[in-house]
Amino acid sequence: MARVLLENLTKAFGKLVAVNNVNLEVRDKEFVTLLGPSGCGKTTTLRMIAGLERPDSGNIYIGDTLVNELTPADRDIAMTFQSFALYPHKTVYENLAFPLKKSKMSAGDLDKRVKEVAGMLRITHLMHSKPTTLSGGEKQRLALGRAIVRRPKVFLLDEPLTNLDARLRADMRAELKKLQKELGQTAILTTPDELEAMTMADRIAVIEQGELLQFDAPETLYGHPGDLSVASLLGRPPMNLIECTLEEEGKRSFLDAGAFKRDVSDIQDLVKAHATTSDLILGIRPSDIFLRKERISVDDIQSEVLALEPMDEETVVDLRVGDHLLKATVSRASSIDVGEKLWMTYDGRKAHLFDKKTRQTIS
Amino acid sequence: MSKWISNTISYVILVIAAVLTLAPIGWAALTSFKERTDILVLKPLLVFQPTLRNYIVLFANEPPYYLWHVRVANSLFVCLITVAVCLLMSSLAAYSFSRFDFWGSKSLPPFILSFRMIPPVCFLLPWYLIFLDLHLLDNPLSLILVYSIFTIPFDTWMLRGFFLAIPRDLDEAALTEGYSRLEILFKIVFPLAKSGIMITTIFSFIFIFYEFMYAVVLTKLNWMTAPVALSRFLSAYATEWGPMMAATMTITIPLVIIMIVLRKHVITGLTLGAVK
Repeated sequence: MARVLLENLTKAFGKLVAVNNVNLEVRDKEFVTLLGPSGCGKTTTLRMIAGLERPDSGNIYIGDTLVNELTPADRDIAMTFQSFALYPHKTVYENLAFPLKKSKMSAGDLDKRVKEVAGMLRITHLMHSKPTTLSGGEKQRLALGRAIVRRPKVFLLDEPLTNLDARLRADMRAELKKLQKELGQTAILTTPDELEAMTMADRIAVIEQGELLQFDAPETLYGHPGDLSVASLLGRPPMNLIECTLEEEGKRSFLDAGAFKRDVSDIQDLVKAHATTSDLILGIRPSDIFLRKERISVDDIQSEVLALEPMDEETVVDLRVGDHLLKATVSRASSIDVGEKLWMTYDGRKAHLFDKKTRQTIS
Repeated sequence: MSKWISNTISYVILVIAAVLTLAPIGWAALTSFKERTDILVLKPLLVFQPTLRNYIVLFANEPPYYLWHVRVANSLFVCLITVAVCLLMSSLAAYSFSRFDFWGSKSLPPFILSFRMIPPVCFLLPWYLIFLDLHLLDNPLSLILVYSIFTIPFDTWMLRGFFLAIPRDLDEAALTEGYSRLEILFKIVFPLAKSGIMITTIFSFIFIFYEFMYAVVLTKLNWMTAPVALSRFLSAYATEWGPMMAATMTITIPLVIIMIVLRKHVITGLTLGAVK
């Protein structure tokens, strides 16, 4: 049983609160990503789990053991560092063997294990080279190897892919995921890249400024973000955020966004119950916006194409709607010209409403 | 064209500087192989019949009993013990200073270094009196203590600089793998700081071995060190230049050879320290 439980974890560096009362449980064999921008506290959290930093308050459990007072060595964890932290004066073989020298393995078993891990990561041919001669990908695999070789309870990976080039990153994402499933080990990874998090994790913990915003599976986070930050974090291009005000006319309610209004009478009770103010933000994902050349319904909104950004399979269309600048995605096949005036509509069921002040999701 | 000229000028200057620096040593070397008659001439002699008599006399068990080998042994004894002890203590301190964040981790190193900046002569009389009371005169312990006081600050400062250049990530990786800080110091930091340690050792060795002032004050006949014994060649009666030059050669040439052999490390160590 190798679950990790964080209870009310807090750490401050002087006046800066890096980790603020984080509660998190990682299940056995789960692959969890700590997602957040640089400096948000995810690395500090990881280091506290590893034992390299002491929390100011809170508890950390690995398995069922309270590990607050244990040294990193006693916690049965392995960590990879963003800089790989390979021992430059040792060969690849010695790098892999070094962690095992501390265990009570016999020389023969040690040798077998090292060769096994090297084979798994396809670096057997480099056994006698020094780390400085390796390519980025090979260094990464060696760093992973050093962590794997001890078969610890939990893997901690600190931004493992940040130092690799884009092509390699894509390959390594798949390989890491495969490796984790193969070894069946609990893994916690930190990254500022939401694409990495979305593709690799079973669950993602979104952290901002030391606070855990949401901890869910990727699809849940994408479809039901609890917070404005989470919503705008996931998805490329990011969610369109339109400021609007809630207006009541008799028994009906409208969202007034300047250039258009939307009848929200059907959810007005829900909105009134959760909103603290009438200043709201409407969130629409670019993929939920539809553009047509003719007006089909009364709800369609006039928009003007400002620019086109062709991507791999889709084109991002920059639209101006009244005072708002929105992005929509259409298939490559569509023929749209810059300056064209199109009619826009969006899938209201998939839209999100946020309270402007508290940034919490209302629906 | 100008590149060619500037290169030539550089080489000319370097050659002149080299000649000026090495000439006295070369002359001493030549003198050490000359018979006394060849030394005490009015015009300097470059061509002569070489002899090893000067060297033999240093170690011989006959008058004037130079006992040069004893003196060198004394110096080496004091030197090696001091260097070893200081290196050990300094590396522990330097490791702490370079890795841990505690009160004084930034302010103490320069403070410690300031002890090295005090002119050693200031403490000469006080320490002489103290060692006199402790009956430690003509005892290697007094020299070791005094030299340690001046070497540890220097060693700590230098080693801290070299240790800082080694990324902390390596320490932390080893920590998660089950190694203690002490093991990390010996198995990871030392191998990676080899050049720095070497240069620190060489510098402190040179300082201690050739030190004269405290050696002459704190030792008498039994524990006389090599530099002091060297000075005694220059007596009021008759200075035996031949043996004196031979003695000088014996304690200079080995060091030069070591420096040449280790020159790669020396250069790395010096330049790395400069970038700090």
